[in-house]
Amino acid sequence: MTVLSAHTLDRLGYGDTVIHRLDPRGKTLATLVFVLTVVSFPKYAVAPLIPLALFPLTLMILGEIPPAAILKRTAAVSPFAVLVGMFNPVFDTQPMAHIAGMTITGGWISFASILLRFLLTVSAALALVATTSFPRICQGLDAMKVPRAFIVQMLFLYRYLFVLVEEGTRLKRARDLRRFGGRHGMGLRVAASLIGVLFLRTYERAERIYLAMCARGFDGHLRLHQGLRFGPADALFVAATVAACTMLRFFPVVERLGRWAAGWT
Amino acid sequence: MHMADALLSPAVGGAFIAASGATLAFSAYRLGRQPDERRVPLMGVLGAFVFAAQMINFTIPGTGSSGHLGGGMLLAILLGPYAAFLVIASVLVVQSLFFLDGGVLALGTNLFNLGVWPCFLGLLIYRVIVGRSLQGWRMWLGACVAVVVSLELGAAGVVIQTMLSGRTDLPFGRFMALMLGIHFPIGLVEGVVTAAVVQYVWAIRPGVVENGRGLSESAAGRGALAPVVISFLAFAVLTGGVLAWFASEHPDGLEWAVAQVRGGEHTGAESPVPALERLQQKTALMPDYDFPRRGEDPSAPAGVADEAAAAIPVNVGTSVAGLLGAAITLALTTLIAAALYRFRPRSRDVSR
Amino acid sequence: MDAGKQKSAAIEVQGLAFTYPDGTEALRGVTFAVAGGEAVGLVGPNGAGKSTLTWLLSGFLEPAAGCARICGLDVCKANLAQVRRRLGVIFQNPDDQLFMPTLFDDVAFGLLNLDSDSGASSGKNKRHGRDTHAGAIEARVIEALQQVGLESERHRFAGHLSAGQKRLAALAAVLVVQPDVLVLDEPTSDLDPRARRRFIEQMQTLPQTRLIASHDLEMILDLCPRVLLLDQGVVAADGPAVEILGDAALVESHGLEVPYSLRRDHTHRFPLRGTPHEMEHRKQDARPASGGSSSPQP
Repeated sequence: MTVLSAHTLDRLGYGDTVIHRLDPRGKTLATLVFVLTVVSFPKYAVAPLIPLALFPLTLMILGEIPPAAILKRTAAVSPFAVLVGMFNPVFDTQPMAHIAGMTITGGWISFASILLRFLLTVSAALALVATTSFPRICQGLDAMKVPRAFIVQMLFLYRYLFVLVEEGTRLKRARDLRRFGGRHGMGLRVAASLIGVLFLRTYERAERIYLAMCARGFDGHLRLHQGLRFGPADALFVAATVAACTMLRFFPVVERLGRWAAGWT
Repeated sequence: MHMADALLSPAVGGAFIAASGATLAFSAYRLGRQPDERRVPLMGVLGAFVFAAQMINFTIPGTGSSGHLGGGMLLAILLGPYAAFLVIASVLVVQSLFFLDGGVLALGTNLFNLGVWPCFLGLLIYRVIVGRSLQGWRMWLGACVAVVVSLELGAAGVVIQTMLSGRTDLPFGRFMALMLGIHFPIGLVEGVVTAAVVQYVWAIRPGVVENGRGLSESAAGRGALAPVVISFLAFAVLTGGVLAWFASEHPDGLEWAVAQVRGGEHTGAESPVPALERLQQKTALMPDYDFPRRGEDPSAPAGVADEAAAAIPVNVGTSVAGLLGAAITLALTTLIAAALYRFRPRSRDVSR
Repeated sequence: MDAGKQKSAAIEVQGLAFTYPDGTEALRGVTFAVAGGEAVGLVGPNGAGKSTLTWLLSGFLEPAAGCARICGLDVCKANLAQVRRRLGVIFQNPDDQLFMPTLFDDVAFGLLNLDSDSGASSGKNKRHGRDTHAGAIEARVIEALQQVGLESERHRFAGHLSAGQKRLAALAAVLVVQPDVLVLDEPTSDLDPRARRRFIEQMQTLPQTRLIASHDLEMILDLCPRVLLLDQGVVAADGPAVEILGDAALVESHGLEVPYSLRRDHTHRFPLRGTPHEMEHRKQDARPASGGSSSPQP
């Protein structure tokens, strides 16, 4: 299931919108700045995190990513972070706020903060890949001087990811079809030999790919076409992201707003 | 057990990105010194193979629940340390972007927990136990011990990174015991399956598994491996340790930097001794020790902080202001998003 | 050099033999020649040695005896780079051949490799040179993609292409370096009728020398005036496609069937229509030995 939805996520990356056309370097950099900003907020921060949602939201809306696709994926996982965060209300019972007669403990607030952080960081990563496509991200990293061996590694992995997952699924189906509901086929030994078969097939595929590469003049160095252009729009995008993140991090925007509104009423 | 962005502080995340990034660069450099054209596509498809192998589930003996292979140790045994490390790194990048495992900042910690241990320490253990022959109990023992050790170290890494980041209130001891306990049986199963796969592959195509030497190393490189791995591990542990120490001294690197920039007006939030800090946290009226205090305002800066302040019945006004601020921000955020959605420029190509 | 190329055949094979390490004799003395611009079909039953022959021509295997020449160049280690520049190979499985993530990168792959040999000399004027250079490469890649009608898909992920598009993409990736000779291994094996037709039309427009190994005899008839019939590692027949493939006795003795379009009666260009039962009858009737399939049986 997750692989299937990864497939749809992947397809989104090949769209052609304002956001898709931005340089991958700029988007990767902005995403990193954003995640660092989110993570740098103190433990009990909830309200100051809210306006940060504008970053992934902007990317997704302008990038025409159907929100349902992202939401479903985010909701489908039960991440480690949430599991760990769930214990905060248990261990941190320091009362922190009274709202409408209810006492709210620090644990609940920090748990809410973890949840919010999770949503923000994860949706930013999803928005990045859904508006850039994985090969373009790699192209950007390559231009940012990440070791070429690693870029090549990621490109090959990505190219054969869905091909091999399908092969793995076929093997699994073949086993399940002839298992007739019995327990026997589910054992470690059968699984291990299936994985072994898969490995050997993969190995042979690698040999064929190597031949195909040789047929087209491969000599050990993978050359990549550099077609990136970091234009004014990209500079503006990065600058705006950095400025917005800095402002939201270092100036108590939410608090000022609140006080202004409280004074006004 | 992927570490997540949401649990990390910038200092811990950054420290491990540095450590893992250095390991990655070193591995790429080592691979470059022994170029092998055939390895290029092989490593790539083996990265994809990990995802495919995870499609094949099996019943874990004695529990009735089902699991799948992690694959890190298998890659290390089949590919050798450096190539396997690169492959695992690429797998983690794809997992963080497509499968929501971990996150962009957490890549450093995850690569350290799931890559460094199996590829370097685990493989060394495996080789020492297995020796030259691939048959018999030594191979099974070697794989199991190697996987269990590297998995437990990885799990311990997750606990330590989480605690250093200070986003959770889990008691260290219990958290550690829980994680180590869970990962022991997982490691055993993974070890057995890894050994079985290696044996299967070896039985059918012995050339592929050259006595556990890995595909990526030449015969000449073999003897030199152990000292390299050991010195390298020492380096990695040292780097990680120093950085982690730094991180624990300054639980929130950015916070600390901000305090410095602000001229130490309220550096009281930063206590040099963690134990003292905890004590302060327990006893202080303001438990939120890591709130940045801003300017002349006696209350904390942001909405929640104000609620915290409201717990002390002094400043009801700011509490109201905090709630109002949160509500207004939420409304504004939604409004801006809605406006963006309404007036977004349409793409030229709608067909896709 | 060029004069020599003009004179010698595009593909020249003499006494080529090959035995796999497990003892299987794949080829036992194969001799033939293909002139420049000619299109030749390579047919034969499973295990006849068709694929082995294509591997040998591209230098992936070393012959046990005999030799192969592409454009007058011996296929051997020393000439491999030269040979591969002249020879384009389309693999049986396009997923093995399209190894780069996007179509553009894949088509550019061969070009960038080729280019690094010749373009290494450009020294000082590097920056300027590189820019115009990248532009030139892009132009050639787009041109090759236009040639197969995939220009609009150039930024798509290879995994998202249909089987037919993958075949055409593989063709573009090979054509971009302007080879003189094309060797294709089962190019239509997984294509639906429309994609197959599109591929055949594409092939018909190419000026290159073509050697096409396939079981798709109708496609061979459409594309190749001449056919080589290979069986058990030797050339069993070599001549005009219509004659060889229309010779029922010859073709059947080598495990093939006469293609429908060569059967005596052409009124049923698509005879496989009707109930499965009827179809079974027709198939049996269609065997050349038992005559045409003119009248539907009751």
